[in-house]
Amino acid sequence: MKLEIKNINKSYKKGTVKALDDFTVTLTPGVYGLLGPNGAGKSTLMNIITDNLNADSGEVLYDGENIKKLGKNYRSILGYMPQQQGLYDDFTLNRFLWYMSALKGLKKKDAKEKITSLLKTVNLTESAHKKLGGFSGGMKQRALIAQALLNDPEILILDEPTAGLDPKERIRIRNFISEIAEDKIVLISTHVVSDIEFIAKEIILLKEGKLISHNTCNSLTKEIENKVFEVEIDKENLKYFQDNYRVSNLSHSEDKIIVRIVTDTSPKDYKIQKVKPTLEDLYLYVFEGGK
Amino acid sequence: MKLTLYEIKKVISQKVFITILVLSLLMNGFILSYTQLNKSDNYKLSHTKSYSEALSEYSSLSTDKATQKIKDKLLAYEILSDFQVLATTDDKRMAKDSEKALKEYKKNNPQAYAEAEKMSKSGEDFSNEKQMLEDISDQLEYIQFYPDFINEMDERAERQSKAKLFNDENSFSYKNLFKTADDYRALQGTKLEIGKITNVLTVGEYKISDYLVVAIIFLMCIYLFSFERDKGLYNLVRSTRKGRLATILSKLVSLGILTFLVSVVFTLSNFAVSACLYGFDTMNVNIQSFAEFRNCTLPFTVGEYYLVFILSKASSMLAFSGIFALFFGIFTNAVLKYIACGGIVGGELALYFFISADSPLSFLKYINLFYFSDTFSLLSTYLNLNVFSFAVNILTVAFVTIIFILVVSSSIVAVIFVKCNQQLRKNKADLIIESFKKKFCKINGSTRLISGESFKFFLQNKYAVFFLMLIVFSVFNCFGQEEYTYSSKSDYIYKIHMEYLEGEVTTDKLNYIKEKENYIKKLESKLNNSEFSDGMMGVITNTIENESNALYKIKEQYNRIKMLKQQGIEACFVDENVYGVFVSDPRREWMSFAFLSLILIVSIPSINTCEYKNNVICLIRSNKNGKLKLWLTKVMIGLFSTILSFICAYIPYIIRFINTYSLKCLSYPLNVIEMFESGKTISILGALYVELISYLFVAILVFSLVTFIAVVTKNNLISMLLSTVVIFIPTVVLNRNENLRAGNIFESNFIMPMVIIITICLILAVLFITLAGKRFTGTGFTQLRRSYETGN
Ligand SMILES: Nc1ncnc2c1ncn2[C@@H]1O[C@H](COP(=O)(O)OP(=O)(O)OP(=O)(O)O)[C@@H](O)[C@H]1O
Ligand SMILES: [Mg+2]
Repeated sequence: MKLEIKNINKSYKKGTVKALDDFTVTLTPGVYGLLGPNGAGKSTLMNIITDNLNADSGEVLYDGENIKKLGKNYRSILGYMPQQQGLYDDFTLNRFLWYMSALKGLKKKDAKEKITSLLKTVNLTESAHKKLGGFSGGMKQRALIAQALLNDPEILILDEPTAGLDPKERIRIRNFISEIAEDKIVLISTHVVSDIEFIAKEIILLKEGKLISHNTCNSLTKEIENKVFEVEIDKENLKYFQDNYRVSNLSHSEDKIIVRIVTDTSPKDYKIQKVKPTLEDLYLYVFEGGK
Repeated sequence: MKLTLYEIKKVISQKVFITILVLSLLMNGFILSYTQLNKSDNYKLSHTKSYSEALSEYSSLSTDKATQKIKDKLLAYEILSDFQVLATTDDKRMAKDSEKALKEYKKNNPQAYAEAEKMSKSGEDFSNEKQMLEDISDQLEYIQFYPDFINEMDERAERQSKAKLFNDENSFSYKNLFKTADDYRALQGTKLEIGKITNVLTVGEYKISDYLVVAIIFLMCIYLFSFERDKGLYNLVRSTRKGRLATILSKLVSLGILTFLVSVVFTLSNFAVSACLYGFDTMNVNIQSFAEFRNCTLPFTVGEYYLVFILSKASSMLAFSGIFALFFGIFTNAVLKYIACGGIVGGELALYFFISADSPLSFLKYINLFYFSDTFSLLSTYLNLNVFSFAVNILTVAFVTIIFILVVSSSIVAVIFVKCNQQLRKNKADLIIESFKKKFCKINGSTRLISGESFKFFLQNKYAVFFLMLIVFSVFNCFGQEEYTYSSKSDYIYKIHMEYLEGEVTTDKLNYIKEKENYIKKLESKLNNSEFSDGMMGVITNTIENESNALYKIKEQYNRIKMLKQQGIEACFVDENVYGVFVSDPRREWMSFAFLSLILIVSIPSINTCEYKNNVICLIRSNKNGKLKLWLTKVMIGLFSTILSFICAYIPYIIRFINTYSLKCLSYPLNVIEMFESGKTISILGALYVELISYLFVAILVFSLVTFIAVVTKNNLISMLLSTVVIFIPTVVLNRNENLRAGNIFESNFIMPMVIIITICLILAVLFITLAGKRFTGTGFTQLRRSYETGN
């Protein structure tokens, strides 16, 4: 099972905004983290994969066949959770999930089983008969996740699934996703690096529509192995560091400040300690260029 | 001040609001002109020019001279009617009387007699002119009598005050008597002239615009008071420096300003529409010159009355806005708001209509929002109310009440807003239902798409309410009578004959026809008899013409019946006018079609646009059944609504018609009617069915077009607006087109045209639906994002 995304180009507003630029990647079962700043083209890519949007050129192949040709068959193995939170406010969660099962063409018996277990998974059984309009942001988000999983999808596309979730729910969902991801292709876009740091098989870095890098977490962080430092500085120097280095973290210790920086050239004259890079450091390194 | 402008802008920049405002203005004008145009025998409409000419002619004369001149003219009309009676009647005694009268006229009023003779020869119908002159003469008479009426008031007060009932100087009756006398005394010497105030009367009687304005006020209250609260924005607003008193005051002031403006716009548009139909009123005449304003004690000219009317109408609307604002301030719960506002409107309306003027509770009728907004009666009647046994004029009462309402409700609303927590609490009823559901409802539902889709359309988007109202409306519409106006005298005679003849052919009926034939012959022999004067001859010729026209129509039909009989088809006498209209009436066809398309325009788009509005289109389309099957389900729901609307739009008229004329010959051939003579043989009912079927296909075509527009624009309001432009407006414009309609198909061989109509409709409908479906299921949405970002 694999999903090939080949040479996708997509521009908006008659070519003035290039959302995706010759984007190519091949996905196999496992979790993929899609990282990129706002406007990088993540949602655009997901809309193309879910056949909601036509690419200007290029194609998406599922096991070697164009998804447009597969049509219904492709969509029946697809689970998609879009980014925006607009929902049917007058639907109760129960009705919403049944409606989605209808859209996914489930049988009544399967649907019932699935809905009951998914409600437990996302911890919303208590709210099953509340109207979606009265849901909090995080509850809506969880309802959307449940919906995406209804048909046991082989391809699961999640656009910022953890936005607005509290830490407890975030961990819960993260663990659940990694649990079910074994035989599925899961593509998660997010700004919260820690969400995917440990569960993602591979990370895809996207910037202004271009594929920057595509590799496992470890080998990506290896790239900046010798570039992350912790520096102990005085308060007066903080401004200087913020202006000249990518500061990924700050912490106070007594009257000193410890800044964590990602840089090609390490600063001299300071008390420096090399540290193990994380994905967050990589993110900064890639997307906050020039320093 | 700045805040107020922001608030006003908030309302005005709502597309929904502007659309509703424009649509209701259009509808208002449409209904006003439609009701006026449908008034039969309305000479003011057809003789606008000659009416104003006559008015200026007579107003230049002195009252006495004008009266005399009109009297002479009216006399001529009277003589004319004697001519007609004499020439045509069968009754010997009546003939003799008329003859005698005519001789007398000839001797005493030779001039009028000559004129009548001239008119009778022309054979025209003078009833409109006569009506016009009678109206003018009535007004002249009233003007002469008015000074007496005013003077009488004084005398009566004197006289009555001596009666026992009025002994107590502190009683209301006593005070009322003298106040009345005083008020009228001021009118002594008012100069009265003839003129016309058709617009004043038309607009004064017209109530629809009031209801529309009240509805719009309600809408504005939603925008001003509910929107922010529902979105939880009040917490934000109230936490700022000017967020309390200044905010609520500016909201109230903007509601007032907007209400005032909307009301003025509606009233002005009413006057404009009326003036388009009837021409201008006589502006510089005192308003008391018209009998309708006999009791009015306000010293206004017609022009000033216009201004006062517009202002008082707007003020009465302000009272509504005050009350609504009060309820919007008190209740946080939407349902309670609706109930309270609906309750006060309904209650006041009921009190206004059902309490009679002499009931002890009559103050509830008069101190009533709807009485205040009935500006015409308010200004034209003289009424003092008993306020703690003082006699106070209703105008003062109205003014004070409105001010009172405004002050009290604004202060209450302001205090509530400033002091009380404005956070949205969860509705108690909802909470109870939820906890109940949690206990008893299982995870259950249906995996059929149609159930989810219908829930969305009918319950979430509230179209169930819409259709329920439509059904109730059409059930009411099934009752009542249809009016058929006769276009000519011979039509009228024909109708009288047919009342007897309708139904199967019997010898009695054939004899009746013979009798009528003889009568015409008799009249004809009178013609050869030269004892009559020229005028009489004219009248007789006229009558012969009318009678024989009617009879000819009957005999022709009889021939057709015989022809059909030869072919072995049973046929009977039917009233050609009534049944003709029943099967084919361009006006009604266009009206029903306009009504139907309006329903479809309002309801259909939301089936296809709600996904875009809710931003869930991407979510839905990525599922197995999220494209074609979803589309087909939507089309099914649309078709169902179309058929329902179709029934509501077309069937009530048919039921009403059958009730009115108790059509007993529905199963007999239509072809006995001349218009349909050459067509294929079909029963009247059959024709009706065929017609309805072809209309249904036209309705489906409209449905598919609206659907197409909705899918292309992806926005509810824009598609409503666009389909109004594409479908509704052309329909209204074509309203009177006689060639372009389905009813024509029976005049020739109906099978071919019918097949053509249905195929064309089908092909186009399928085309539109497929194109729309392609767009819906396709992935070519370059504007996917924008549509849900800017969509409302
Ligand atoms: N419908 C549209 N019309 C015009 N431009 C668009 C449209 N949709 C997206 N864009 C543009 O395409 C680019 C990529 O947008 P996209 O939504 O894919 O970014 P994203 O990576 O999902 O951002 P975020 O992290 O904020 O969700 C942006 O520059 C955006 O402005
Ligand atoms: Mg995005």
